[in-house]
Amino acid sequence: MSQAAAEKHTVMVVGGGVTGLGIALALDGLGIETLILEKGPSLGGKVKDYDKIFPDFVSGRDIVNELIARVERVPRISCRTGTVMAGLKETDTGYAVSTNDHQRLEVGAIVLASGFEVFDARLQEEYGYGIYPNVINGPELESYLDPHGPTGGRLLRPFDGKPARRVAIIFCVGSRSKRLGNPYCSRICCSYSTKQAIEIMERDPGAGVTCFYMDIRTYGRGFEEMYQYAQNLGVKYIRGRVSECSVLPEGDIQVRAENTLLGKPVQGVFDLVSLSVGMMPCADAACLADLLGIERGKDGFFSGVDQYRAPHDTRREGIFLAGSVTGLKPIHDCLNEALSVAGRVAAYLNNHAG
Amino acid sequence: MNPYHLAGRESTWQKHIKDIPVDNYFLTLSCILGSFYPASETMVPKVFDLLGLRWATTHTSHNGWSCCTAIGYHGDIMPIEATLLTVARLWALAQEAGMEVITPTCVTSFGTYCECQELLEQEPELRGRIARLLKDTCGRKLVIPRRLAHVSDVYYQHRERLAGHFQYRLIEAATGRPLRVVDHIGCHYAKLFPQRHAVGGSEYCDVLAGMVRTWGGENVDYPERRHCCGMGFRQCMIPPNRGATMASVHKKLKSMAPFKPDLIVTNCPGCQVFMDKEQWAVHEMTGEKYFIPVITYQELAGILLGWDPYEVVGIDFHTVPVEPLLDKIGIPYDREKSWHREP
Repeated sequence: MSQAAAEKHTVMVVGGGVTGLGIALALDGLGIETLILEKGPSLGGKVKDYDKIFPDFVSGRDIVNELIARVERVPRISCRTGTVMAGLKETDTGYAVSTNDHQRLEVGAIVLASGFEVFDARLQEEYGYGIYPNVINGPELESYLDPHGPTGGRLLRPFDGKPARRVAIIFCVGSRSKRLGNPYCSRICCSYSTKQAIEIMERDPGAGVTCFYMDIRTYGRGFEEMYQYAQNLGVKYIRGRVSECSVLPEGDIQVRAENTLLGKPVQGVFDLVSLSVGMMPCADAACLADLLGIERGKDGFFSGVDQYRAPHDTRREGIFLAGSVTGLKPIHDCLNEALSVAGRVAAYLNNHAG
Repeated sequence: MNPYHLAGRESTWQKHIKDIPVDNYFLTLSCILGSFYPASETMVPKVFDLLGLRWATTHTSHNGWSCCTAIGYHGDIMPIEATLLTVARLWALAQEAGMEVITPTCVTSFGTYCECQELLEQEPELRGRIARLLKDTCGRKLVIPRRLAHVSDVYYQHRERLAGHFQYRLIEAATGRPLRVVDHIGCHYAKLFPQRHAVGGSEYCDVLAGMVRTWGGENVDYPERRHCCGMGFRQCMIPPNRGATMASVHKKLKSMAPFKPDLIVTNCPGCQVFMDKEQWAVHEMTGEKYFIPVITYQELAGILLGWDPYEVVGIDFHTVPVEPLLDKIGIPYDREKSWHREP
């Protein structure tokens, strides 16, 4: 049986999230043809599930939908969903890629923009995630606050469906934790949780939101102002680590912590506890690193050859990095990276034009 | 409706599956359990024999058995080196009996054996010094046991076989309702080496909870489940600190009371003593009457096996009466055998 001819593309972007879409559009602006390879069933990545993003509360879903609509209108961009790389070989003109659906692709350059994974909060056993229904994680809280989400935007207790008005948010779950093997800061959790606290208080000024934090790291433009606004709305910030969550007979969650500013143990009872989970390298990062022959840092995220002079370059020529594969970034930083990596890829292709 | 997901909890337990040996146990006894609840230890050999297990023991002074010294180590009156040497000598005795699994009834002995094993495995210099001292002082060879198991691990391992011999289950006879059981795990079992030595880890330890489920009962999760009983050697042995012990027990009782437990089951001699006896002290000091029966897992197995509650299980040793629990399960007993019967 004869083998089908390989499909040729100038650039292949691995990952159809906000970064991957941004890269393809930026390359199109430079007149470069692109294939987006997305392992999920649809484009849009995680941001398509965010009704509001920080710090300005615009719709993440609208941003992604707009990017997708533009991608679909552009003839120089094609997409394959439900597809992952299965093999890679160097060729005279770039790389020959085989996929899980037995397709053969020939590409001039590859950009890895495969994103991140959310920390599995079950690993921090003392908080009872996966055991107590009223302990949820940050992305789940996001979906409860979403008018298109499972509760139509109403914040309800999963245990009994009653309104949740006493809410605790525990920061740094699965990040800045040597014990759990994630010593790094995930950078976006303080901000997305503060944004969620604001949404709860704006919708229900009589609600009470208590945030237990290690340090507040709202570092970007507009982030600190958002944090101050949350405090003005009445969101309580308690500096201290939560030692455990436990369940009471009616499903309420008792949270015990140390207030390290007062030097006293504190405890409270809440309708709902949200764990502000940190982020981790994408689940298939190790496989991708092996397949592509590129390096990862001790934290598991991918490493460029020089983060100052060539932040997108890997040690393999023609393979580039963008977005959260090199560490967590807010959405606008990912879109900025999309622009900069497109410029770098264009320069590479220009210098290697066959 | 349970305020927790059973499947989620079980998946958490299963992350900490402990490889428990099935045979060749060398049984070592507790310094205090035999004094306060003696049947908890005398029933262990009966259960081992009932299950046809291969085991041995040596605990009399003429063949050289001694305290493991953990009570002195944790009371800060003994350095770890002395404990290491004593434990190394006890392990040598077990090896001479041909048993490879050291199996104490005491969780502090268990925790100390685990700590000594860890230290000797990871500190070559210390291992060399203890080996030399052991040879010089009593002519014995240091052998670090490959396997350590608490007796509650053994009961957990064989819980289904044991249930096959039971005459009763943890079910209320009058209603058919599963009894609600609080499991209280000794800190030195679950909190010293939760990854390596505790069934289910420290947060959702399964060693007693698993027995309870298999034997027909329902687990009770409550906020202070992981709180220490308050025994602490520096608390229970120093009279001015005793208030801390009672306060801990009081805190636990207040926390579990809304869940209406039918009994508390323990695997630590110290916890058993204080969870049971401090209930009376709490009543005297505060007027609050909890009186939830507290029994060891050995006693629980004993009453479910249908062994005589007074003559074999020794429930007379308890401060909180156990008879109401027997009544719930429908286990008959002869009051005439009790020391506390009316004249």
